[in-house]
Amino acid sequence: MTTLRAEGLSLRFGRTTALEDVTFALDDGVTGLLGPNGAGKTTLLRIMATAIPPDSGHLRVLGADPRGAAGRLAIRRRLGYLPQSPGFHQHFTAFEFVDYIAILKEIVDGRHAEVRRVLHAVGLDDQRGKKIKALSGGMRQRVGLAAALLGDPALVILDEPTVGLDPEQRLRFRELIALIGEGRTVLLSTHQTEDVASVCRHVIVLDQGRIRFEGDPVALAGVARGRVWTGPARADGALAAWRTGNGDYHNIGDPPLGARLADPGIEDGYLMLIAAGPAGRAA
Amino acid sequence: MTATPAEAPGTPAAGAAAPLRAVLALARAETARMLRHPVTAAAALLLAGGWVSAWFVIGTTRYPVLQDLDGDGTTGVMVLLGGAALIAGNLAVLRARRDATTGLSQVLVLPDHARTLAHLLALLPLAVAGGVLVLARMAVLALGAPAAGRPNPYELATGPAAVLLLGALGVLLGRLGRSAVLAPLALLVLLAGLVALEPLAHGRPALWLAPQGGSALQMPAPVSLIARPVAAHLGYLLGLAGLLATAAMLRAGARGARVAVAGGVALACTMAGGTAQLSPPDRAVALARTSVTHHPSRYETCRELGHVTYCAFADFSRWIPAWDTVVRAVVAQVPATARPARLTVRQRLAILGFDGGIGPARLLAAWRADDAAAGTPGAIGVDTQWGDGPAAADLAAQVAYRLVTGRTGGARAGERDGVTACGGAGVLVVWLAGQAGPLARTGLRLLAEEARDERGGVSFHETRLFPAVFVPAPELAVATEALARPDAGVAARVQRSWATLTAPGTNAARAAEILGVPAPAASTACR
Repeated sequence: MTTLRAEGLSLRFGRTTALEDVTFALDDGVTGLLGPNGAGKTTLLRIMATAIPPDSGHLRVLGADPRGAAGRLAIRRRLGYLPQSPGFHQHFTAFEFVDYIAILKEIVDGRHAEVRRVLHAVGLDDQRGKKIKALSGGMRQRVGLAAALLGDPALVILDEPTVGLDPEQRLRFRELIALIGEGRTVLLSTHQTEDVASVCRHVIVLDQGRIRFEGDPVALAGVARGRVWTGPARADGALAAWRTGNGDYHNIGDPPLGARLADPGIEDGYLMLIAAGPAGRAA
Repeated sequence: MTATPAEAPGTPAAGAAAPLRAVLALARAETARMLRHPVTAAAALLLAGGWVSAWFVIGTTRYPVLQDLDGDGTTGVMVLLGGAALIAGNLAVLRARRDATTGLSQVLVLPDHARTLAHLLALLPLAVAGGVLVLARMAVLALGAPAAGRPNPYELATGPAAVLLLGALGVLLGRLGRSAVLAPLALLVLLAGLVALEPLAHGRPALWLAPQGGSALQMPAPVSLIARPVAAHLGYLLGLAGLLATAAMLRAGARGARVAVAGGVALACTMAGGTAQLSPPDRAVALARTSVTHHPSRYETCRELGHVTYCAFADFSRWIPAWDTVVRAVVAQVPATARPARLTVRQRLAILGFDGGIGPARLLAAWRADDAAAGTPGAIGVDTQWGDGPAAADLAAQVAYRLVTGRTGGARAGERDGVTACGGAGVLVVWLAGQAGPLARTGLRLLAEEARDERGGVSFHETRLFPAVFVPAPELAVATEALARPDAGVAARVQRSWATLTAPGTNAARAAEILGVPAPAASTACR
């Protein structure tokens, strides 16, 4: 069953087009939403989270239409949402904050047990009595994730949850997201192509308000197939090129002299899409 | 996709009762935060601390009159706890905005109007806490020195109602504006209004439109005569709180019949209470006030202790033993042969506006006639305040004057200070009054200090409005010297020379000689 279906979503803020004719569908598992800054990722997530309505287009989330109050309520009951840069009530303890969110989610039966469950799920058993202002950035993100997991939601929307985390925290978070994605739909907005490669079975690339790619990570990498080269020199006309640890240059684009064709990664495919500009949709 | 059954524990409930239960849970959480908020804690400490310090510093000598003190705490509760409710309620509404959690909170299930309802409900325990503090204060007052009367429950509820009113204002301001500065500003405006309104509208009915209500009577009165429109004022305050709460709910998006009914009921309460509180006391109360003022004997209960009959309004009868202590101490210094067969002490009500407009002279005449009709001519007057030094000195001096002269003091038409006690009689009046205990001696000193700037001497009152006995400066000076000597020695001289001291021809210098103290520098031309 499709968890979410968006058809022709468009939204403008004044003269700026935030989204234009966005169409896609989500099923179970983790879907990665990639795109540069200002691509419209957060706007799209906010529409899906029922925070703002689109100007046009149709959206069905968990079988409900968010245009009506009843539909929004039905969606919110089964939605977990971790916004970009979520604020926290700094003087609350981790338990109090998640408990407060649980109340606002109308979780009334077994509320405290549920709060303990989600804090355990994100590995904050020992920190639940600490004030949020005393927690590290990674732990705060876990608190936010715990709040998003309240009520065992069918759809979890995570907006750049790994921003600002150190490598170890990012790996831990990645592990958590993979776990959460088992048996439910997770939409993960991120700049980190490694995160997508690691945990996502489906990827959407958004650029300048339009979907530039939708498919699995292997297909995204495939976008750059035949366009990735390694060699001793930097290609002058490369879309992107950098020197790797072994001294060779990694070139994306036309082959430089003496270069060898390399297997593309998801990052290469992503760069190919973005560097190519809004010429069309690849799949 | 895995759909989780909504009925499973720990999942958002979908039943009809779920929002209400979530509202109650949120209200509980917000209540806990409001009660723990530093502003609330500081307000409660200041309030309780203020009452305790006033009790120790100011109020220990004055016997409490509960129907007079029940409204005293209203302004403090309103300003401090109400101010805390205003700020804490406002901060609760603005929490998501202040902490930048709106991105999440706006997509949570509980709608805005339900959250606002929870914020409003969270104010109730704060008001209850105010009520508990008010009741605790009343209990301390009632259990301490002999308390007169009983508090009015509506008056006691006014402070907590004001807490609700200001709390609702805080919630509404949170819905109207995004800044947390609005609530403290509103509190400042309210305080400025209170300060400005007090002198402008003192005693006027319009004062009842302010949350703290109208000013109290100048003197304590029996419960049945007070007739402050506190019930109507309480309805007015609760109606206003309801209107503010309804406005906050509407602002948060609440619609429907329930909101309309709540708003309608609140408006009706405000209008009905507001109108009723501005109406003057009904005619029956005005007549009762006049009748009780003119004819106190008809409304009093009398009790005989030894040779003295004490008559008091029912609310004040607990004070009779304290009056008796003073009277006995004075009588004990008088030779047995000089003691009268009977004395009567009668409580009188002397409140401006209660006398039916007949004026002081006719009121005094009405009291004399009332005493005569009750079979207690020459009764000694005592008013509705007791426990401080001047009150004890007033009663003791009136008793002393009666014992020394055989007559009762009291102002006559055209007299400024009541009857004047001259020579040895005046000296004895003051000295005997000083025998009524340390409280009376303190009162003597205070009364003498009050008169020092004018022409010396001391005036003792039958009630606060009517002077009964005046003792000129030379007599006061001799008595003060005598009071500074060991009591036993002076008392023996008084017993031995009672007849001489009380004789009309004995002047202050002669009295000083008898009592063994220096003669006064000046003499009085007493008649």
